[in-house]
Amino acid sequence: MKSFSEYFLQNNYDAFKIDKVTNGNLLYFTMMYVYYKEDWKTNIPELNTVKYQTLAYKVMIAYRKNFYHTQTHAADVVQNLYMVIREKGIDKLCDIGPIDFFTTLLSGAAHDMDHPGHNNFYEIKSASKLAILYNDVSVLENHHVASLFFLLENI
Amino acid sequence: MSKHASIQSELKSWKDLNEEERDLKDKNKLNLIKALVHAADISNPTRPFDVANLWSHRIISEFFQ
Repeated sequence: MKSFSEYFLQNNYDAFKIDKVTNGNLLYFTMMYVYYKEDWKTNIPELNTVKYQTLAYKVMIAYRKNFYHTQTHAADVVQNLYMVIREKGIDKLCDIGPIDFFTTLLSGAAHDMDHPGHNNFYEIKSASKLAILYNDVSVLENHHVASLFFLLENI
Repeated sequence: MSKHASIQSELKSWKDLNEEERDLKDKNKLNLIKALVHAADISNPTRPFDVANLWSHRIISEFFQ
């Protein structure tokens, strides 16, 4: 039986399996795992543990219950980024410090926040509220990043 | 996802850079991280088949719900 920290660095990582074990809280679990694994408590002193915890939880519950664009997908992206940067040696290639790594993983965690389950084309053609708000330009992408900044402002 | 083509062309343009412009710093580093996040987003088919199969069934269900 392999340890979780070894399994987390492998390409055959099955996000659904771990999602079941964590009772459907995989994104929060992954973010907190990375926090303690990378020791951001000492490496990024500006980062408050409770605020980080709150942010990770709020990002997770901002995901809707779609078939694909769920918090499991976000956690899978975070795992893939972690694997590529740490295991495949990107961190040595271009000197990725703790803050770079933190922002990269946070962008991975929040990249599909509040996804409605339709694509941009559907949103534009159905003249949804989001399409009107963002004037048909990269509607969903704008919405994901706006949702993250809303959370960061009100943390 | 809508930035796929622009990320791809940015990476392709790196082959025309001079030796001193190729350092993975500032702008290049940011573009590399952008490409990595995007690559992680669409990384499902790179997983072993049994895992990739689960993901692909889910995205097809979402498209045709």
